[in-house]
Amino acid sequence: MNMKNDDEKFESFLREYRPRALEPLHIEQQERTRRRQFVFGSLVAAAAAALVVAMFTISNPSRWTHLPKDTEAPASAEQLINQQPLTIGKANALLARAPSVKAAVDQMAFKSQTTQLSKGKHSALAVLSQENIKL
Amino acid sequence: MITRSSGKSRSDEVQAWYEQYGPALVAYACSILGDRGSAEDVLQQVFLKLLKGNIEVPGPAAKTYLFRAVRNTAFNLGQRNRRNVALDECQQWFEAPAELLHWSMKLESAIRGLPVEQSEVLTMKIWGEMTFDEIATVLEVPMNTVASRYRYAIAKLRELMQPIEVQK
Repeated sequence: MNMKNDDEKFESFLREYRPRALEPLHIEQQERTRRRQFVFGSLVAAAAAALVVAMFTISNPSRWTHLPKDTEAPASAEQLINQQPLTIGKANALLARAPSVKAAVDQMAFKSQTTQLSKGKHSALAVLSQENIKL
Repeated sequence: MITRSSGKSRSDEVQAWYEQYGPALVAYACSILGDRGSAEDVLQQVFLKLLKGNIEVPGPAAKTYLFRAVRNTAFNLGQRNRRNVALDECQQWFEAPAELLHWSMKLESAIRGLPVEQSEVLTMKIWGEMTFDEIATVLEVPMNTVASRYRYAIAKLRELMQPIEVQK
């Protein structure tokens, strides 16, 4: 009984010593570090992706121009518009060379007929326009 | 998988545990590792895992979970030579009333002199304010074993601290 009391007294004595307080946990700092790591990681990933795209473009330039094989020879936009008939391939090539899609479409849509007819042949449109049709 | 039931945000909950149990946990890690610097490192590791990881802890069992996590991390870090750690005033484990402060290094030294199995039980009981049942859960040993380790620890510590106790 006495021993038990002595132990209890000794325990009380030990409890007078308290574990030293700690520095506050730097949660915000940790979160900031994580955010910084995420931003840095994103930048690295974006740079790597850009590098891969650039390397791929340099190594395969033909994949990005959409030029069909028959129009691979250098041709100006003017030449392409004058070529008749206007095929899908030629339209693609024209789009690839034009500064904008709108400019390319405008060129195609409003280009006047420049095809020269051989001697003795007349355009059906011209003949019809000369006829007097009575309604 | 342990589940968390409170509605608090994760960081608030972890912060609250750190404030409530942090000092006792670091004292516990000191009893295993022998020096406060390593003990604080262990605590940082445990709490950072709680913040980053997807570990969920139930409120009522948080205390035993934290002591167990600190124990595992401390043992993974490896026990240092507890008895030969230099006693540095900045690295003291305890705070005490002015008249007892002088003896706190003696107390730390005496705790280091105990076998780890006894010093960890003593620390959890006195400064962690845990029951024998809770300690048994942390250590995964029978409660009787915990009780006997505690009795041995107290007896040996009394012996080592006798002159101080007499003065008191």
